[in-house]
Order: sequence, then C-alpha cells, then structure tokens
Amino acid sequence: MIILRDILIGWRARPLQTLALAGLSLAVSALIGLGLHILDRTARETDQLLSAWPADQSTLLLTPPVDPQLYLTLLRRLPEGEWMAYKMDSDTAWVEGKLPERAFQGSGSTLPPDLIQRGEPVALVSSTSNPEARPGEILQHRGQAFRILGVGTLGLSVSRMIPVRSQPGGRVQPDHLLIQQPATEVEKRIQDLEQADRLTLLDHSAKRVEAAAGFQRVKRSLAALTAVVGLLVAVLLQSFYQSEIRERKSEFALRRSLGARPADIRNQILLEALLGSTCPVLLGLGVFLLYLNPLLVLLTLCLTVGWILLCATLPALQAARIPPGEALKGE
Amino acid sequence: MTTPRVQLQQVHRSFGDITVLTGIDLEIHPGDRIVLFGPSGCGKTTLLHLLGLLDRPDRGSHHFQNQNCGGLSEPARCTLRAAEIGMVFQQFHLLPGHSVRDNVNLRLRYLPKRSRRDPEPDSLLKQLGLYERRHQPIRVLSGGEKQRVCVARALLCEPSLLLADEPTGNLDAANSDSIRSLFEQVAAKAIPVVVATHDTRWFDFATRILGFEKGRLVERHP
Repeated sequence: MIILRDILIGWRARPLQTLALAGLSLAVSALIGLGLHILDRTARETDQLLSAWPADQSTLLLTPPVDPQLYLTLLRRLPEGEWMAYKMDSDTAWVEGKLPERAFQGSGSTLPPDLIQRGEPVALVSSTSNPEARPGEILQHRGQAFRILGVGTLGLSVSRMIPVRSQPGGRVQPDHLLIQQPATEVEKRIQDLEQADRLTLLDHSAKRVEAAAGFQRVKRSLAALTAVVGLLVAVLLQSFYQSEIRERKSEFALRRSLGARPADIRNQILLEALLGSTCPVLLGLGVFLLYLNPLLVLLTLCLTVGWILLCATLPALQAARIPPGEALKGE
Repeated sequence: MTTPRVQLQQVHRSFGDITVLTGIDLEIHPGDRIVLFGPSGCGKTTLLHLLGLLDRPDRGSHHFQNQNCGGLSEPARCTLRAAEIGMVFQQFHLLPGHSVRDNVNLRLRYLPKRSRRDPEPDSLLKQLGLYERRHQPIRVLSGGEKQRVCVARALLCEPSLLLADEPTGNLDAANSDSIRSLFEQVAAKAIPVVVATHDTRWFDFATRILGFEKGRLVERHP
C-alpha cells in the first residue's frame, strides 16, 4: 500500500508527465487494437471469399506476387478435376492440378492417363539429363521406382519435379501433381478455355483471387506499418522515460540516500509504467469492446502493457545504477 | 569507554587521479557532535557519503555498530542506511510536488518493518513547528521551513547517526540558529551528529572539530 500511495502521490506531483504517459499508452493500445481488428477482419473476409469457391471452378492464372498462404489455401480448395497455374516469369509457370492428362502436356511429350495406377509414385524427368526416358517407363531414383509421367525440356529433374502432395508413407497421388511448364503452354491452355466459352468463369475466379490477394497485401502492409509505427512509439516512449530519469535523477539519489535499494528504484519505475499504462487502457476498454471481441481486447491489453514495460526496462535499469553520492553532489 | 557507533580505519578515497581522503581514522560515539570544517572541495561531503554508506572507500575498514560495512552487499547497506542513518542536505533534496508530510513519510517507504520504531510524523512535525503546514507542498515553504522538513525526515524513527551536509548553507542567520538549536536537541538524545560546514558558527555546537589537511583529518580547536 505504501508503494502504491507513493506512486499516486508522484503522479499527482507530476500531472503533465502522467497525462503524457497515459496518452501514449492509449495511443499504443489504440494502434495495437486497430491493427488486430483489421487483421482479424481481413482474415475473416479472405476466408469468406475463398469459402464461396464455385463448385464448377476452373483454371486460374495467378501472377506474382501471390502470398504463399493464399496459394496453399487456393490449392486446398481447388475442385476435383481442375488445375491452376502460377506464372513465374515470361518463360515458366508452375501448374498444379488434379488431371495428369492436362497437367502433363509439357513441351516434350504426353502420357495416356489410363496408364497410371492410383497411388503409384510418379515423376517428370528432364530430357537433358534423361535423354532416353519415355513416358510410362519406370525410373529408379534414390531407391524408389517412379512411373515417368512426362519428359520436359526445361531442365526438369526428378528431384525438382516430385509431385507436391504425397500420401502417408511417401506415396504420391498420381492425380495431383506439381509440374513446371513453359508459360506459353499455360497461356495456351487458357486460350483453349477462352475458346471453350469459359472466359466469364475465369474472370470471376481471377477477380476473387485478386480480391483475396488484395487482403493479403493489406495484411502485409498493415504489419509493416504497425512495425514502423510501433518502433517510432517505442523510440518516443524510450525518450520519454529517459527524460523522466534525467529529470528525476536527484529524486532517485534522494531515495537511495533514504535506503532504497537499486532494485527498489528499478521496480518503482516499472511499476509506475505498468500502472500508468494499464489504467488508461482499462479505461479505454469500453470503447475497444464495441469493435473488438473480448479475446482481442485482452490481447491488446497484454501487448500494450508488455510493449510499454519493454520500453521502460532500459531506463529503469539505468536509473537503478545512478550512484547516489554523485547525483546528490551534482545538485 | 563506550563502543564506537562508527569506526573508520585507514580509509582512502580517490576519484581518478585526485586523492580526496587518505588515511582517515575516525571514531564516532553516542552523543558526539562532530563538525567537519573546511573549504569546499576539501573532502567533507565525500567523508559524509562514506559515513552515510552512499559510497565505499577504496581502502580501509568501515564499521557501523560493530558491523563491517565493507563486507555487506549493496542491499544490506541500503537496509542499514534506511534503518540507522538520517541525512540532511544543503540543497534540501525534498520532492517539490509532495506535501510536507509525504516528504517526511518518504523515509518510511524504505525502512524495514522491524525498524519502524513507532513512527510519529505528526508529533515530530509539531515539535518542529511544521504541523500546521503538513498538507502544503514543499514549493511554497521558505528555506528555513524546507530545512526543518529535511531534519524531520532524517529524524523519523530515531536514527543511530545524523549526518548533515552544510545544513545552514542556504539559510539566513535566524533560520541557521533555529536549525542549530534543533541539532542540539537531537544530540541531547545521545544521537551522534556529524555536520560538514565551512560556517564557524557551528563551533559552539561541536564537541569535536575536525579539519582537513591534504586529505587527512586533523583535530582543530575553536
């Protein structure tokens, strides 16, 4: 109680500094709260957008940059029998899909789909390193037998072209593959689709993915912005505490002369920071509760208080090291 | 012969190349009224800070109530300082936004519970004529009143040693006399008082006057 009373008296004696700290704490919590709110909303809207994937969804052409998380989400939601392409540059594109007869129409050769047994390990091979390889043949690689699905001319190798998804135990689903094809091939596929009067659907998908990618971009920008603003606020808070320490140097020296241990000085500053940041944030919780769910409010409170304590730690340690004799003489 | 409350033996203290104190031997007994006399920079404040456990000597031993202070950890020295030593400063070192009573009570914050010997800040404030102003902030007090608050803070819970660094350095003659008579009352309770000053008017108060010569203590006579 005596410590709390001491802190309260100190706040009353320094109203401007106390208000400044309260304002800064509120600003930090508002920033964190807003950031969390936007992230939460973005995630929910992205999810909503992607969950509305049409059942007859067809080919998608994604252009970089595409968030890896979004790419995997799209892949997971890719309907049976469809594929999508991720254009790497003007020459190459990744194609991912579930129809080998489509996915493996590479530049070299094609493979009759009825040749593949379900669950059989499959691979694409490079015509450069395997000039003799033919589709349908068995290739031994690292002690495992792969059915050659296609032979490419773009420097494809077995190790690079192992299908992305495998069943437990390393078994590969032959109907779900990741391959590398010339971009022109992908574009050609899309042209085929356009001719097949599926352009509308393609546009629709592209817009949907574009929107989802937009959310991802917002997320990234927000994270970057929060980091920059957070750093600025941290510098501001650090300066605030440093100037507090400078101004109160003789007070700390006096406290030391009255018997305060270095740890008492450090703890006093940290306790002041803890109470000084928690009180205004708790007062502001009512406003936050209108916009955020309780979990996010709690997270905001913890992050704010943690952040402010982190900023106060170095100045608190410096204050604890002030030699009392010198500080008293300095006055 | 009583056991000395404080005993310094062959104490040295220097700051960089400057030797401030050298070969200091000093014993302080209950009821002693010691005046450390000398010009600014002679080492008075440094010796007071050593006696007040605010600083450590480079060499030599320092015993407080038979306890070897050199072997104590910093927290233990702080506890000893809080419980046993009262300090009065020329610059008062009061918290200006705090009230008179809060400044006096600040001493309680760091006192170990076992050392809180019935603190009665109000009766102390009455004795020092500050009771009526107990709720007022320090900044509205005169210099003499501020120094009395400083003395009240130092005397709360009856320390075993009272140290004062130029306690009347910022006061006029009337206030200086008042502070001196206050110190007389403290010394009458067998609390040893050490005053560092360059004011010769303190000579009447002293039972011992110690001067400084090249960092060494020398006995002086008024």
